[in-house]
Amino acid sequence: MENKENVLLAINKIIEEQEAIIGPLARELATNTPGIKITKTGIEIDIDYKQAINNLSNTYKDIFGDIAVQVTRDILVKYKIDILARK
Amino acid sequence: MFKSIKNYLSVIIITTLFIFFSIWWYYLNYIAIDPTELQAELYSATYGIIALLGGIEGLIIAKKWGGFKSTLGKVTLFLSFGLLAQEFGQLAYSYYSLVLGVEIPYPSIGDWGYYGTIPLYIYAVIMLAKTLNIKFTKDLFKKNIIALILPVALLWISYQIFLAGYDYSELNWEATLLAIMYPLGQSIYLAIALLIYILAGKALGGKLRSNVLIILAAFCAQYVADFVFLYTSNRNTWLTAGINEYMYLFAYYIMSLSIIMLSVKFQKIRQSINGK
Repeated sequence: MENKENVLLAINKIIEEQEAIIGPLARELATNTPGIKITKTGIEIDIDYKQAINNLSNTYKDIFGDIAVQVTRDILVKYKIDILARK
Repeated sequence: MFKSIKNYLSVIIITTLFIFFSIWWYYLNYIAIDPTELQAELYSATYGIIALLGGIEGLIIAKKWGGFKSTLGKVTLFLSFGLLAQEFGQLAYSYYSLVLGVEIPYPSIGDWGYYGTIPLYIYAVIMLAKTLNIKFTKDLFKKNIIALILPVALLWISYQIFLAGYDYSELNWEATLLAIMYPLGQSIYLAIALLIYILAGKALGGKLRSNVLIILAAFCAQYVADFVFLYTSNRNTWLTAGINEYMYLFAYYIMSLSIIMLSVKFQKIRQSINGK
């Protein structure tokens, strides 16, 4: 299930979830995450998708710590993307 | 340098006010020889300005964090509403004693301000739990015995101290409702705040960690102030401008500070984004 479309959907969901927590700042943070571009038409990734998700996870981890990572993990499980190994 | 001072301007203002009212309280209680009732009433009527400023600033800050559209925005909003409700109670009480010059009736419109804070704070703390991805499910209570015992213990303590043996016979429905809801309600927001601290534990990190901890400390300060208020007023030992008023001053200060620090942190994160 780790095709590009699925990964983009998961990234979009992660951003939406974080927006529901910290508001519009979540999108600003995502925009500034290395490898992720948010345009009017959608989200683009210009690096390896695993790296992109890791970068995004770390961006939010910087705000709320491991709690934010857990939010990302829950979404990745939902989208059947096996990237962030559980501790 | 200028940006840094601008970020902390509200912190400086609110801290200066806190120091001013602390000195004034100390003067009334330890230096002034036989202070008049008017002096005490004036103090009582004015220190709530900290809650007013914190509340108003919070309404502005909440917008930055998404307002009603995000959980952290809701935390900020409902903490602010709570502070404003407290100030409403303060002003209403002062209106009775300073302007009308009568004994404050119970319950009065002011009590609805004080008591109104409780559902507002309960909602704020529930939103804080949601922000931190804490879900109060059956599973949580099964796995974590403290999550079950703590709220029950706090409710039991409140019941034993404030409600057991309480004579309701001379109270109307409004007074009875407030007498029951006040001690139980404050136990609920304290229990959730303590649970957040226990359950989030080490997972709570990042730039907003200190902000969450200040908010939790503010809930504790508010609880202690409310607890002492109930305890002393039930025993007719509550004093205008006395120790309990200082506890409220501290609670308003730390709650306002917790809200303002969310703005400071927001600016810092924005500056770090723009600085990239």
